[in-house]
Amino acid sequence: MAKSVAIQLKGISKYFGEVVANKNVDLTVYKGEILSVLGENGSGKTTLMNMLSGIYFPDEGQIFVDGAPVVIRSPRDAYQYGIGMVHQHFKLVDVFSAIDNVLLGEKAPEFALKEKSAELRERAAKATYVIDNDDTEAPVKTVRQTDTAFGRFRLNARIALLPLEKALYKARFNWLPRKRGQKIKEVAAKYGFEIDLNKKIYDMSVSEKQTVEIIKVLYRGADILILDEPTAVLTPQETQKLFDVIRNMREDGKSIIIITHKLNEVMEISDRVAVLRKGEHVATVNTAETDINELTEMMVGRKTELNIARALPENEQDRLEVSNLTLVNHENVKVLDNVSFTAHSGEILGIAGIAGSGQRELLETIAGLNRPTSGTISYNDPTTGKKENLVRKTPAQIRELGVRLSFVPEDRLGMGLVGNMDIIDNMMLRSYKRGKLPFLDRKNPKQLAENIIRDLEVVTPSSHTPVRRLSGGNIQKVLVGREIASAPTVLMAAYPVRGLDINSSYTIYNLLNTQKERGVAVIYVGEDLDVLIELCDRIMVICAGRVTGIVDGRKAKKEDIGLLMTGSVEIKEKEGCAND
Amino acid sequence: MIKAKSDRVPLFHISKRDNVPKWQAWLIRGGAVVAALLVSAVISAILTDGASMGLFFKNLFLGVFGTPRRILNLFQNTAILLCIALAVTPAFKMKFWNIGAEGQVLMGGLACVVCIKYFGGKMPNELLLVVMAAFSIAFSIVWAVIPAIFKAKWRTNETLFTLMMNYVAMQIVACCIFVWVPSGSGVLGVLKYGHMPQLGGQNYVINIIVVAVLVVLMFIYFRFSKHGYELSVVGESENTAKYIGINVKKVIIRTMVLSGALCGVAGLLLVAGTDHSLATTTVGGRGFTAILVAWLGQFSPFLMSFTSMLYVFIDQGASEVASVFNMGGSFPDIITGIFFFLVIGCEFFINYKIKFRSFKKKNEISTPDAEGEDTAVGLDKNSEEVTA
Repeated sequence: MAKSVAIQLKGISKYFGEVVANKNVDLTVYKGEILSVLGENGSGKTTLMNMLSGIYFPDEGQIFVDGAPVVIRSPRDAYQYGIGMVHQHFKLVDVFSAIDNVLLGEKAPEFALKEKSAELRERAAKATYVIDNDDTEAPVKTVRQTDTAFGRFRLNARIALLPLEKALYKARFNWLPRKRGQKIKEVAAKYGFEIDLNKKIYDMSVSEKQTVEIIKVLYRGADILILDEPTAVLTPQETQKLFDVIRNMREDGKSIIIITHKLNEVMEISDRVAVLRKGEHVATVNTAETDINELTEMMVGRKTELNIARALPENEQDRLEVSNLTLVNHENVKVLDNVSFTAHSGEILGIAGIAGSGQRELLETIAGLNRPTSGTISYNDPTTGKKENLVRKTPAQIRELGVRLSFVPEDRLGMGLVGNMDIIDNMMLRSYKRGKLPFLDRKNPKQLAENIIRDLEVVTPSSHTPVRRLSGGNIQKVLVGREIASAPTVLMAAYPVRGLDINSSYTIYNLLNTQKERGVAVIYVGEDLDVLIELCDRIMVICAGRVTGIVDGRKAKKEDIGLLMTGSVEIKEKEGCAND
Repeated sequence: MIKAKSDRVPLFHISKRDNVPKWQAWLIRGGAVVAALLVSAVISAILTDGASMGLFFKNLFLGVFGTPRRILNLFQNTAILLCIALAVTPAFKMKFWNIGAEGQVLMGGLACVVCIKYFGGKMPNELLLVVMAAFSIAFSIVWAVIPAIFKAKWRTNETLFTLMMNYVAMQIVACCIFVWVPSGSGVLGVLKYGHMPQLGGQNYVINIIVVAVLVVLMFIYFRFSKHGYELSVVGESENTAKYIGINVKKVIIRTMVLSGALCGVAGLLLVAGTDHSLATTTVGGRGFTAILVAWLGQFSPFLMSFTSMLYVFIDQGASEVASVFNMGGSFPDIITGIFFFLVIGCEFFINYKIKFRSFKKKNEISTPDAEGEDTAVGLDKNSEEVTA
């Protein structure tokens, strides 16, 4: 199949200060193909694509579209060349409907006054031949509009009225966009999107929002679509639907670039894979001629063990018992609905679910950040053997009870750490209250910070560096390190490897496993089902705030969990067994 | 047409820079101050129909350092401004946008005058001063804590609230003065009692000492105390504060109590230490200027000492220039405007880098990166041309 080149990147480099985001990247995208851009976090995938879509401007190098060199300075320029990008974090206006969002920012084709008037003049000056049909003998007369005074007046009047015409044209475009809504529906139907375009964005699920983003790009006439981690927020079923749409688009001759680090999806959907490592382009291979191991090797530069070590839980005890927990949020929506489970010491309990099913609220409620409407949370103290009720207690009160509960929240810089403070001050967050004096003790936190930097191999200039300057993986190491340092008996971690590269992810898995071996009850909220199945002893699945099942991590199948996640199946009787 | 346009490399693009060495940042700031001095000189020369620029500099410095009294004035004005700046700093560090220092100081001042009016002459001066301090601090705290309670309990917007409280305070003061001086000028004369004792035969020395002590105390509070740590955590991220179990409402209210207390001290220093009287304009906008001073000083008490002194220096010096050249009351405002425009503007060049399109293809020379110093140098050149 002879394919023509859609885009070519030559020697593209981008620097952020001293950080090299992309260096001398060459990449070719053909028409009618699906290209995966694969790489660890921080390998420069998104930066590269942002340069294509006009968000960043390359420091060096040249972009060619259809063989011609182009300069892309803004997303609008990118659209001009038929390049559209769907970002990882959707850029939609919540209170607008899907149609309004698609139309937003669309510019009417230029109404060029000068050119129009020149055209009118030319037409008026052109001779028209008047043939007398009744008298064939009569000579052919030539008439110019400019010949008569009335004709000249008409011409000048029309030219004078052109600005008014322009205003009307603009008004029609900006205030009467109904017809364009029809066109959007046609685009949606063509590629097989199932969506109600009149729905407001805030009523939409994540996958619907993504659909709107894709339709927006298609409606603008993009021939090259860039999708940044499109499946990160989707269920397996939704992912399949998305892939079908992507294949439809390929059939239509469009080029699709998918940024991802999920290898199995790369293998499933793409025609070719471009691998980036540390901002440099490693290789581009045909998917059919490669396998997961080879790709991993290219991605990380050396072979990494795909297996996560998992020891059998030892000496299990009920550590945290949650029963009939119900939480209603500000908008009177039940975010947690009768949740019951028990976390054992010495095991990792995974929590699976589509993003926003109540995982975060569950952990926050246990940590004392939310007040549940009903239900109990009781903690069995391993040293005293006493049962402590944690419901309706603040985090400070929970700590005063001697409950050693550690919590790695989802939002690292917004909740777990303070971005502008240095590592030492962030260590202090947990311990600053110690001691009776009104003054801070920075000695111990400094020691702790240095231990964590050394033990977890945090890459940082010094312990005085503000944590926001660190990379995602190192930020997470600092946070997890601090939470582990307090010798917890319960460790809760929400998406601890989100956005981390493979090496940092494994560091985190190992840390969790070490804690488990020490007899800590670990609760792990994750999104990657493969990891959950490989890491956790039991997996609790929640859907829309309800527990739809607790399955054995060693026996569970991905498809089963996927079904539980969407709530299409529920395991009622197993709940009792798993709690035993 | 559009295509042709976008085929050009942009003339320049702006990129963030993160790790500017400290000395370089200070060099840029220093350059901005020098540039501001030169621009002010040029402006004043233009406004005075070409009076020589040397006179501008001479009078600027004479106005500040000309007589011992002026030097003392410089320190006294700096002290008051710095005290108010110190008062707003804890609130701003907590991202509680307290723009009501004006009103809070005024309430403190009012409390002092109330004490003088009703206890003056009935108790020894020292005791009166203590009572005044207590009242002043209490009044200011009340004024500061009302918006804080509303913010903590009902999440009202503190910016508008504190701003409005300024005008309420002014009206209350106007009302009180009307009651005390119902006829005639309507101006409260110099009060007989409740004067701060002189030290070393000079007024104001106590003011300066009090504020100097406060600077050190506040530095310790921010850097080494648990409270200071808590308020910066709340300021950086309320979620983090909740997560580690800080009672956010308590911290907001406690910090505003501190902020109000310092405003009370400022009110005391104003009434008992300098003015010995009260008017609605006693604070004279310093409640707002203090915010600028605090931001420029990056909320560090020691840096704020410099920025507040810089402000007072310019203001006082420019007033002298204005009176020598007969230029009217707006001239100091123009000069301070120029100063702060350039001093604040130079922060842009510390945080960002402007990269111009390289002209290599055309004439083989690439333009250097434009940075703060370059602009400053550019301005210097301009002013030199004008001189010539």
